[in-house]
Amino acid sequence: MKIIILGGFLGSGKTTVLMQFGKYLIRRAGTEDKTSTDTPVVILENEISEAGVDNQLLSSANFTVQNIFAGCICCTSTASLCESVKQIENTWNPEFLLIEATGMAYPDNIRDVLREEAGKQASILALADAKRWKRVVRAMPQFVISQLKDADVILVNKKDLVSPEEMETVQKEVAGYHPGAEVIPVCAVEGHTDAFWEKVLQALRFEQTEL
Amino acid sequence: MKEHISEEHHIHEHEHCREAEHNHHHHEHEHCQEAEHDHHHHDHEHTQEQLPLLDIDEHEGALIGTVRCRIPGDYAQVTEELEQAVKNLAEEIDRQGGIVGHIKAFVKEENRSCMLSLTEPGEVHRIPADHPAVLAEIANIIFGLSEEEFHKCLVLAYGRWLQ
Repeated sequence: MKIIILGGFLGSGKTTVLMQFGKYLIRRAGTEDKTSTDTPVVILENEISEAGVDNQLLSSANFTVQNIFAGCICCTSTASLCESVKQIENTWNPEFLLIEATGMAYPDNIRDVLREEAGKQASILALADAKRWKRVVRAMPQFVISQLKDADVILVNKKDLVSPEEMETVQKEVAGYHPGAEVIPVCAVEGHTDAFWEKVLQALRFEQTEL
Repeated sequence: MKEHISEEHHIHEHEHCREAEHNHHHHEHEHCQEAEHDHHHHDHEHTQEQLPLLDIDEHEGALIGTVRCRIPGDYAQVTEELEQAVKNLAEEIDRQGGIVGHIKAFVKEENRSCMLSLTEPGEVHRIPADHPAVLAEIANIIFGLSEEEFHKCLVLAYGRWLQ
């Protein structure tokens, strides 16, 4: 089971990306020349609030979804995280487990918890909001920058809502803070090709390194 | 209208949290009997039974307002009203110097229902029970306001559906 943590600030477009990427991974499982599992993709959805919003959208799109509400899996709900991951593996054993973190989470913390407490490796796909980048970095720079820490791929989203010059500035800043990541501008509300999502998938690191 | 919040503002910055548990702030909510918790997140299972609901939690400097309500009326009309309410809320938060993190809602139509009754072979008696309504679950996540200020904003935006 390959685990991908999807992180990024509130409203950056995580769920929109998740729906497209998830559908691509399901298609991919159906066309690959190997025996695919019945449920190639399961989503673990973490909502900071008690309101179930994203999970209902994902369920309505026929994804298999498990939920953790009213807490953050990077800190306050780590036990629920580990239990849920084990349960998902035992119940469905999907090829891919996509964990959508809350917009308040630190994805690298989630990855550390999975490694240290569940013995699982995970890769990080993060989103930055090009439209709001300057404002949120000004208000809470450490938090926003740290949310992108250790991401293998950072999608700089909402390129349709900023000028090319602004987009280039945001990309450069993001890349400057996180030189190890592949930084890709996107417009998540538009569809992307399978080739694009395959490129994203190939850039995610799933290596099993010894601790 | 404030354009930006300085780091001295009460949005607080802190290091990565490596602890599984925090000491959390007091939170107030309408359906809970206890005045204070040590932990600011609920331990109860997520349920759609509590309607209407207005609940405020705090996490890492953000305030999370959960609103859940059933609104009688036509789906298209109610959805438009909710859109306006969400816009009004964002403007009010901005006007008061806060920052909107994310306001998101899932809006579901509940409408047609009926009872079927049959006591012997023959015709089935149908009793319509149409009560058009919309179930809305709304997560409102903001920064930069006190809980009291935020509570007032939420009541202003959604209050008519929470009575």
